[in-house]
Amino acid sequence: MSFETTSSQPPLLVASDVSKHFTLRRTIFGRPLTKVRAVDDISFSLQPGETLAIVGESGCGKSTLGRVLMRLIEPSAGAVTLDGVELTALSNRDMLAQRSKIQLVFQDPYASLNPRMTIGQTVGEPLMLHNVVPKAQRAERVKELLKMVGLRPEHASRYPHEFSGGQRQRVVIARALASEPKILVCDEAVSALDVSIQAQVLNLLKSLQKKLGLAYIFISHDLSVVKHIADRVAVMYLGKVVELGETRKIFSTPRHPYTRALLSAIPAAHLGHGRDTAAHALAGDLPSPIDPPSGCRLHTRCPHARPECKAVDMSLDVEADGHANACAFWKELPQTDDLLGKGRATDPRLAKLFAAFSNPLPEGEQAPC
Amino acid sequence: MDASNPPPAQEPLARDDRASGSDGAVLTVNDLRVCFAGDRTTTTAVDGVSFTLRKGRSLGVVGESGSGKSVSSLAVLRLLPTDSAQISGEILFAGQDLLSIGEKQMRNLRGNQISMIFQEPMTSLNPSYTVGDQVAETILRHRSVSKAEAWTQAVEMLRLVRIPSPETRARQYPHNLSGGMRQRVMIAMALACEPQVLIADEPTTALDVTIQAQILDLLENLKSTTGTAIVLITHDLGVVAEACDDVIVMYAGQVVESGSVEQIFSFPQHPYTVGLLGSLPRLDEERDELVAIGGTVPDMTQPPAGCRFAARCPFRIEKCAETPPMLEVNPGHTSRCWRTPLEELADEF
Amino acid sequence: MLRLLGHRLLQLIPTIFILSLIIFSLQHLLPGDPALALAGENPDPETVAAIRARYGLDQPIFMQYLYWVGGVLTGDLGLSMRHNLPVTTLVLQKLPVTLQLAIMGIVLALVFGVVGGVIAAVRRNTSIDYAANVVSLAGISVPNFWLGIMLILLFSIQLRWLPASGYVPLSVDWRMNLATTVMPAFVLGTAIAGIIMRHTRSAMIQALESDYVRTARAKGLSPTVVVVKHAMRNALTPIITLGALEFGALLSGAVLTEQIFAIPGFGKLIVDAVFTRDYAVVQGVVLVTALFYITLNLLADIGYILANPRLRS
Repeated sequence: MSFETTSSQPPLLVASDVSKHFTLRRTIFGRPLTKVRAVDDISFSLQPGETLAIVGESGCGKSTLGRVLMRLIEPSAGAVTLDGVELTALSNRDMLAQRSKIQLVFQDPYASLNPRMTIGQTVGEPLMLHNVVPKAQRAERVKELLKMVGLRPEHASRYPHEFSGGQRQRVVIARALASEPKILVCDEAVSALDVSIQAQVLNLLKSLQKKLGLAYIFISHDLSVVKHIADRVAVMYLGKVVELGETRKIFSTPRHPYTRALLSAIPAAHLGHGRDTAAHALAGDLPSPIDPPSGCRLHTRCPHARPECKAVDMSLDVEADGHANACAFWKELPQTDDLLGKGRATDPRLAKLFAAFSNPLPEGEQAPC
Repeated sequence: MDASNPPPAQEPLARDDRASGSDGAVLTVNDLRVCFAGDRTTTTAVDGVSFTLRKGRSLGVVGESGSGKSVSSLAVLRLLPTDSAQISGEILFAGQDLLSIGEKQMRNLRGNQISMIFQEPMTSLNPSYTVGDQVAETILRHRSVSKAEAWTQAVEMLRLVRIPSPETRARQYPHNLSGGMRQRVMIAMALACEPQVLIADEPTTALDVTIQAQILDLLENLKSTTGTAIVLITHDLGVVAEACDDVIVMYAGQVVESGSVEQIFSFPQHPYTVGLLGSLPRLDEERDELVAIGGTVPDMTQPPAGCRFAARCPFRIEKCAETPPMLEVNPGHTSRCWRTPLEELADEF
Repeated sequence: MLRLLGHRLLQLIPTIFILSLIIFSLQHLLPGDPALALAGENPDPETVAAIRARYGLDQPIFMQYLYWVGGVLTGDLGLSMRHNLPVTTLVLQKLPVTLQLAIMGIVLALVFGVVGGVIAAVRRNTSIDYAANVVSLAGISVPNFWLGIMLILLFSIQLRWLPASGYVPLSVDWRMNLATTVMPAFVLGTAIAGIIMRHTRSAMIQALESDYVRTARAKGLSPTVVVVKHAMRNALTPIITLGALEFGALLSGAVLTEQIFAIPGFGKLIVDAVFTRDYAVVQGVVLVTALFYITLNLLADIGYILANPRLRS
């Protein structure tokens, strides 16, 4: 039920009614007592070359969803289909063959590199594992991959500790690209990096996408980053997708109160936006995912909650353009034209200075990384 | 800049108060220098930082990791390890230099006149004591009140930071509370003795964005009700734009730009600030390519001569090999860059 | 909390069962026939058979186990072939001696270990810390028997302050009791003091570098309050478990020390029993020691739960 498919191409990845429940406690007979519905009945599809962002706050289940899509975690229910192959039906051995097509980039580039392996070995390992290129060409291919992510080929003989955080994340990306995947799952891939470095990595991801036709599942808590990189956005809250649609639509006309709250809470780094954050703010804290609220899970914090919300179901209401949201009363919510505000425009002279940064450094000092 | 600007930052804003000088300054840091002696090398973490915090205002300290912003704030409270950190300069508070008073006097100020909250609410509270105990402990330390009175005040503080049912919460342990709640407890603890200055080191970085909004809103509110001046240390320019009045931008242990929020966000005068601003995606504008500042921060065991940003700066000229002073570009707006005002550079590109 | 405790108690059942199986069967895997050992030189088959019948050695192994377990449950650990006394009597006779040594040893170890560890952590990388490190390393690495002999040489032979060996029960003369136990207790305590000191030091360093200690300092608390109230409280909880385990080890580890100081405790009892293949005594002693260990562990867990609010609620 990939309702939002607008393209004529068959989707690359389809998740249908995927759920993952973790059992926390069992009776002495092994019957589950308490469960966390980390991912609850989620469906979407991903087109080749597209970026779908999954956003939400900690504990919403976005990371679990990412791992379920790669079958690093077995889903409790539902199916994931990659390139026409149903991953969830494969044996472990057949799954291994499919692994090359979908690769993961983690948040922490410090922890995801083996400190005892050189960069070349790290990047070369998937080449060997998936037998992508003949042995004789591996070293050459590693150098190509390093160049592709903006590192120098001679970096291959160095160790991770010799690199900065941003460079390590480039290495991680090179390793992910080695098996020639069609999809990269980026789980908070830029969250641990300083802003200036974050921008470097985002620009790299964008250019790689253009060059290689990659599709991204971009898992993040940072909506401003998501706006910059994603084509479509799925917003999650307590295991449920509450809104799904084109990035432009999500940011200009957010339907669901949770999306509105998220957007209005982002501190804007510019002046004079004059938006009314308080009107959209959520009350209180995230409820425990062990025993989520009945009906619409947001009703305990929603500024627009009404008594009926305790009993409604959270199925997605899909508009003609594919913009879907799970608020049962979204049509009755107040208009949101000023949600992001219209900040004071960037001084055109300042914009020119921004542009100056993308020129190569004078005298070709350091490579941009 | 133009007439629509708020009054320049150095104008006196408050007349009556115990600690401030005549210019409304509560805390003045002059030429602060912090070095860490290692086995073979010495790292200069903070190199000649100066700033002024005025009563009832909040000062944002922005910089990326390793810029020296956290070290500066720990130096103000003298919380750096005394065996490895060498601190020099002047930290003026209530007419005395905090770097020359005795440790006991300093302890009487900490948590009382100057308090601090930290980045990690999950680990900043002691897991073995109830949150009420921990707030009451600060009150007991600095006020001559009975235990019962301290507890009552602690519960009141928890109510002030908008913790629901504070009587019950006070009896709970940190692990019973969410990250946002714990940060509220930290704020309650820090403000319990009505300090002149609150130093908040990345107070919302570990929190979700909706909780961050709540905490920033709370700090803003408390600032206006209690008059506490706030130093807000952050890497997030968005937080600064939303929550601060004045800003200093730090790079490689130095202040590279200083001014009001209005000044810095309308036209930054240091290339590093320009790069930082450009590297942020804007929600209300389309930006195809984000600014990526090339290169990496200099090695602080051997900081480069001249301008420390020069190696990464697209506007670099020969003069940049000389160390630039803080130059006043507009009243109250200073920048450590030879090429200011930067507006004039725009035509070159 | 009750749930957690119930859980721990339930886990004890299989542990104790497996333990009893191991203790019982280990005996039978040992070479040599105890009946032959008891019957003296060149025994006639009838005597051997009579001895077998008397101690139940003619029954099938399974029945022997059931008898043994049944006995144990009613407080009857069998009969010592060597001493011709009920094992329970022997155990009750020797246990207090070893227990006294072990308690004195662990108290010494805790006092020196914790105090030394805390001081070393607070004065990290100073000469005090280095000295504490050397002392703790010495405590761990100096063998018990050597230390024991050295103490005897110094205090008994050279200085003539303390008796070289023997034991006087507490009920007879407490001064003599103290004089006879202080050296062995010291020997027992040193190694453990070293271990506890090292653990305390690293736990304290970790606690002193923690965010909550920084918060405590930012509140303006004095260094003493920061160390004692905030850091130690958290650093010492794992020491509870360590102390209990080491105390258990003391009970069985006293063998050598008791031998050196000729103290008639558990250690001597088991050594004698092993050499004479006195099955029932070996079984009894091992069982009691193991049960002690398990109980201590349980107590340590309860202590840990009580000291840890996260587990308490």
